[in-house]
Amino acid sequence: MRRGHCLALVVDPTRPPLEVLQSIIDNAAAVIFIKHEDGRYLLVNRRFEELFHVSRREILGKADRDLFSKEQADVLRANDLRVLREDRPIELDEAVTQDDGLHQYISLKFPLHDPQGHGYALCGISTDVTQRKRESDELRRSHSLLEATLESTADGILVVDRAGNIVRFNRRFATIWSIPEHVLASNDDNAALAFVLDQLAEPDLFLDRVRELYGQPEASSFDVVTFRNGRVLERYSQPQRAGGEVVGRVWSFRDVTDRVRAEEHRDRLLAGERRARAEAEEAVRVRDEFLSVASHELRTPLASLSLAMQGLEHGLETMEPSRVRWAIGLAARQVKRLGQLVDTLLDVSRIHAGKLEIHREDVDLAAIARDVATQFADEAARHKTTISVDGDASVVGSWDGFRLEQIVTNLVSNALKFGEGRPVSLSLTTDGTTARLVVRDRGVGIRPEVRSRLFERFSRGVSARHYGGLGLGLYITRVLVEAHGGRIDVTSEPGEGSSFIVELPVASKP
Amino acid sequence: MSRVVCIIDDDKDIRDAIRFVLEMEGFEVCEAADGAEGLARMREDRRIGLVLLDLMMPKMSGWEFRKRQLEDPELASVPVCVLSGGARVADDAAALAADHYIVKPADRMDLLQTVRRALLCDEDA
Repeated sequence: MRRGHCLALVVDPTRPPLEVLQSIIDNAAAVIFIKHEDGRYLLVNRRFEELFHVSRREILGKADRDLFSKEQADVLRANDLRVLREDRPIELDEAVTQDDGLHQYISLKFPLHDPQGHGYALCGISTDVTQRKRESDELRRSHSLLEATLESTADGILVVDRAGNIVRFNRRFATIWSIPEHVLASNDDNAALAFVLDQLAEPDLFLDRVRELYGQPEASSFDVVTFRNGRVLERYSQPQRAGGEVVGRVWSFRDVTDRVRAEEHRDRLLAGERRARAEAEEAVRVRDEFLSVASHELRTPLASLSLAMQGLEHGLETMEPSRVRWAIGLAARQVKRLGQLVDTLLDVSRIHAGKLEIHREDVDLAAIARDVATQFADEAARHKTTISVDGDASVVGSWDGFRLEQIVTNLVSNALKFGEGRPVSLSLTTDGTTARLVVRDRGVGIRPEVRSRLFERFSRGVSARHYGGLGLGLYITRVLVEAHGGRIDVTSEPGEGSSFIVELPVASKP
Repeated sequence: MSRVVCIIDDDKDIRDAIRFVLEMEGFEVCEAADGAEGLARMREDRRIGLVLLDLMMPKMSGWEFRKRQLEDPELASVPVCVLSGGARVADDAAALAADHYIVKPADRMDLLQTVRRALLCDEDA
C-alpha cells in the first residue's frame, strides 16, 4: 500500500494538514524540529518542549545558541549548515545537555525545499541513544575482557554449540592440539576433530565421553586425555547457558604432562627407594642370620676342642694312655673341622671377589669319589650307614682335582647329614664328552618350593632349628661346578631322599 | 642325690668331649642325638638329674624337646641347661624356661660348676 493512499484515508479534508502533522509529531518518542536556514526554530514537537523546558511559542524565532551551551550550539549549527550545503539527508551523532546530564542522539537531518527547489529550512528527527550507547559500551568492554581472558589463560578453550559445532576456541587450544593454520582457517570442524583424534592413545574413549555429554547438557565433566606420544591433558567441561537455557558447552584443556611425568618420576624413585631399602634390610637380616649360624658352627668344634684339651690338662697324670690318645684324636678332629669351616668362608670370600681359580690337570673323578667315600667311612659309621661307589672305574677329564674333591666332599657330607642313616650311593659315568656324578641319599628329601634356591648363598633346604651348617656348601659346589663349565641339578621327593647330579665337560673349553 | 647327666646334642664330638670331662669327675653320663631320643633316655632312666640340651638338632629340636618335657609331669621337674653356640643363648634359655645355660665353647670349670649346682652337689663350687 502506498503512503499517499494511507494519508488520504486518515486526513480530514476540513482540517488544515499542519495540525494533523503537529499531532503526529507530538506523539512521536523522538525529538522533531524544523529550523530556518538562518538557524531559527520554526516548529518543535511536544517531546522537544518537555526535554528543553520551552514552549513552542517561546522557541519560535530562537536558535540553538539560546538553548544550549556555545560549544554544543556551534556543533549543531555546523551540522545544519552541512545538510543545507550538501542538500541531502544526513545521519549525525549529536550531544546536548539535559537536566540529568549529557545525552547522545542520532539525528536524521534533511533539507526542506520551496517550490523553486531552494533549501530554505531543514527538518531534524533526533533519537536519544544515550542508554543504548551506554549498553553498547558496556557490551564492548565485556567482550574485550572476555577476549583478553580467553587468550591469556594457560588452558586451551573450545566452545561448541548444542550440536557440537565449534563456536570459538583460543590460540592456546590450537597450540595444545598442534592444529595447523590451514585446518583452523578452513573452519572445517570435521578436519579439526580428525586432527585431534589422530593424536590420541584412545580416540574412541575420547569420543564416547563427548557423546555421553551431548546427552547430558546440564552436566559438568572432568577426565584425563592421553596422547599417543605420552602427553597428558586434563579435560574439564561446563555447559554454556544463555537466558537459563543450555546453548552449548565450554571445554577446557590443561596440559599436565610435566606434572604427570614428575609424579611418575617421583613414584618410580619412591618405589626404587623402597625396593632398595627392602633389599638392604633383607641383606642385613641374611648377614645377621649368617653371622649367628657361622658363630654357632665355629663354636661347636671349638667347644669340643676346648673341653678335650682342658680335660687332658686336668687328668693327664692319672689317665690311661689309650684314653689320652682318644682325647687327642677328638681334639685333632675339631682342628680339622675348624680348618674346613675357615676354608669354606675363605672360598666364599674368593668367589665374591672373583678370585676363584681353577688349576686344570688330568684328574680321575672316579678315583676322587672312592677316596672321599673312604674318608667318610668313619662318619658313615657314626650315622650307622654305608657309602657305595659304582659305575665306570675311571672317569678322566681336565679338571682341578682339589676343587673336584671339594665338590664330592660337600655332596657326600650333605647326603650323610640329611640321609637319616640310610645308605648313600655315588655313581659315575661318562660318554667321552661329559662326566656324570650322581650322589644319592634316601633321607629327608627336599621340598619342591626350596629346590630353586637351594644353590644360592646362605640358603638351606631345611630349618636352621634342625640342621646346622653355614648354608654355603651347595652354593660353593654350584660355583665350582660352573667354574668347570659344568652344571648341577637335583631331583628329590620329600621323605624319599635326593639325587644331586653333576655334569662336567671332560675337556676344558679353549 | 643324682649324679646322672643326659647330653642331648646331634654332634657326636661334643657329646664325647662333655662325657670325657664329666666322667673324669665321677658323673654318670647318657647321650641322645636329638630331642626324641632324649625323651626316650629320660623315660628309661629316672635317675637323670640334669639335661644338657643343644637347640639345633635334626628330627626333634631342643625347643620341641623342652615343650614335650614340660607337658610330661613325670619329666617336667628335671632341670635343663641349654648348651648352644648361638648368639642369643640367654634369650633362648629364658624363652624355654631353662634353669641354666652354657655358651659354647664351654669352659671346663664353668661346665662342672653348672652341673654341680644343678645337681645340688656343690663339692667345688
